[in-house]
Amino acid sequence: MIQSRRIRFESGEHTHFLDLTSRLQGEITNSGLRNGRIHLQSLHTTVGIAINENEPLLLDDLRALLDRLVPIAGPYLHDDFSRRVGIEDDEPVNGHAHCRQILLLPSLTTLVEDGRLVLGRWQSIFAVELDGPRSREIALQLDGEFQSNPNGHATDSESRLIELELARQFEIDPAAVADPMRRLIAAGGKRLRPRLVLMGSKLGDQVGLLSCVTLAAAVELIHNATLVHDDYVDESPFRHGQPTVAALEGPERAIAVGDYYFAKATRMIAELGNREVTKIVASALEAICRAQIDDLSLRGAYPGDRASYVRVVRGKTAALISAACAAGAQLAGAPAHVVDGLSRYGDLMGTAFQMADDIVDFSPTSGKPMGQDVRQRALSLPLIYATGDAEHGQDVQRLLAGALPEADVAQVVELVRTSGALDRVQAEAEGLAESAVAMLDELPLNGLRPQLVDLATSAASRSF
Amino acid sequence: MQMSIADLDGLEGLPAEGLQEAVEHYWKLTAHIKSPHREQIALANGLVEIATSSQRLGSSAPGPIDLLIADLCLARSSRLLAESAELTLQIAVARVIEQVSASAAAGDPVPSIRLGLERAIEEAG
Repeated sequence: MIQSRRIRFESGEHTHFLDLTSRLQGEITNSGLRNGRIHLQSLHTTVGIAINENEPLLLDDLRALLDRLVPIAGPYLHDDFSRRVGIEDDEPVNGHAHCRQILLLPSLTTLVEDGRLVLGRWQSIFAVELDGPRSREIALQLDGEFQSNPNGHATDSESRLIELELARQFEIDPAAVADPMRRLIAAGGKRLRPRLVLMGSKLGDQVGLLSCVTLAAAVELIHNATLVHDDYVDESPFRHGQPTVAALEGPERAIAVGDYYFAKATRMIAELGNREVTKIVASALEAICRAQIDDLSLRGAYPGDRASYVRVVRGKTAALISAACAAGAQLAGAPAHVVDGLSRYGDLMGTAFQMADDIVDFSPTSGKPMGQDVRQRALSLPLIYATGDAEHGQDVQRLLAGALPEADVAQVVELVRTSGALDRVQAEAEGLAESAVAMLDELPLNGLRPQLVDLATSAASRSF
Repeated sequence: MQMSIADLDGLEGLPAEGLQEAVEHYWKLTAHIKSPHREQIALANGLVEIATSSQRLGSSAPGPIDLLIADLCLARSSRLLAESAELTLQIAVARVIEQVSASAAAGDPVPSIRLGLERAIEEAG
């Protein structure tokens, strides 16, 4: 696995040795990298990278060395603007800085062991500004084994912050609503939506991490509130292997718990004070509710059609994923085209995610009970394609129109598996994931592209 | 006051008279709010009242479709408030729903949603 990041800094002097060691260690800790490498690359022709001792007199020596080897006064042909073409009005006189940079490293790889930079006692990692003061940027890639939680998902300090924020909210809330929701959230879930909020929030710089974590936790609460109501509507006895809130506590309490967290999450977001963010999430919530009504009214309406399916899925699943991406970026003050692009990415990725999830219903190795969509006569894409299959379609439709005892459910599952419907759906999910990745091409992603690509690819295979 | 058809899209199954009465109640109550979106604010409050009533909080659970339509009312209300109301009112309305639903979940007597919303509108100024 590889994670990409950027670190930015302001150099304060013409020749400035900035010690990045603690910031790099922080990036490693945040990423969860346990064993591997961290690669640094200067994105400037007048910034170098070095490893040396952070001792002030030594740094003066190094500055003096650079002065002796490459004096500022020159002369340098690069500074003879009469001989250069296409120079900007504000072109700096900095031939010496370019020549000095050639003596330093443009990139560096350092080992990471047990979550720590491998450095000798006196070694520090420096970005060396050679033409400051300026705003600068270093690209990072972290490569290796990342710490995983029992479910195999990457954990980092931001993920822990989300869990802490959720736990903190449950401490505040009345036990009658907090206990069932705490159990539901503790039972599992991939925290996909809060992760997307935090990723989106890295594309701007106008808000602190804690506000982003609040938004991320609120979006996760909304997601789970929809699940609580959904499980009542679907009469689902289990979720994540545990009894649903409706099954354990009764439907009346489940409805109240869902309502409480709808309202609470909405308030948490409103209290962030960004009306656009509130509107993004509220619109998604509305889309979810509309799609759930649509979904219920379409139950059993076989053979169904792909357009109806996609309409439901975009509302029921993709809307909140899309909103998570967009709201994080919006809260952080990212440019409008970035917010829109991420929203579209989330829409495509979320649709692919649901298609892949529909396939899981027919997989004997997923660990989930098979045939739930069949029992509910849901208009899932595998069932739509199977009912339209030339060889098996009529049998599938006949069985779905009947009483559906367990033997018939098993037969429908088998017919769907042999019809080729699952391959078609998988191909479509992968196509949507590719479209989601293509949406990222024009966006400035501050090094997040590999993670977003990885998420989209994983969405199509449900391999989070 | 006239409710916008677009604002009621998807909510055709609601009891029209009950919603109309509730919205008119909140329309009068929001007379002090100097906003071109006063209709939306009144409708948002009316939808919260109708939603919690349809969900029969503190009583027996409604059927699935009634629950989902009530959820849509709450979601629509949330969006309308986000688009048209001051932050203080958005927060105050959310707190009323939290209070009512927490009481219902605990099996306590459920406070009147209308009284709560009236207080919220008054306090939000």
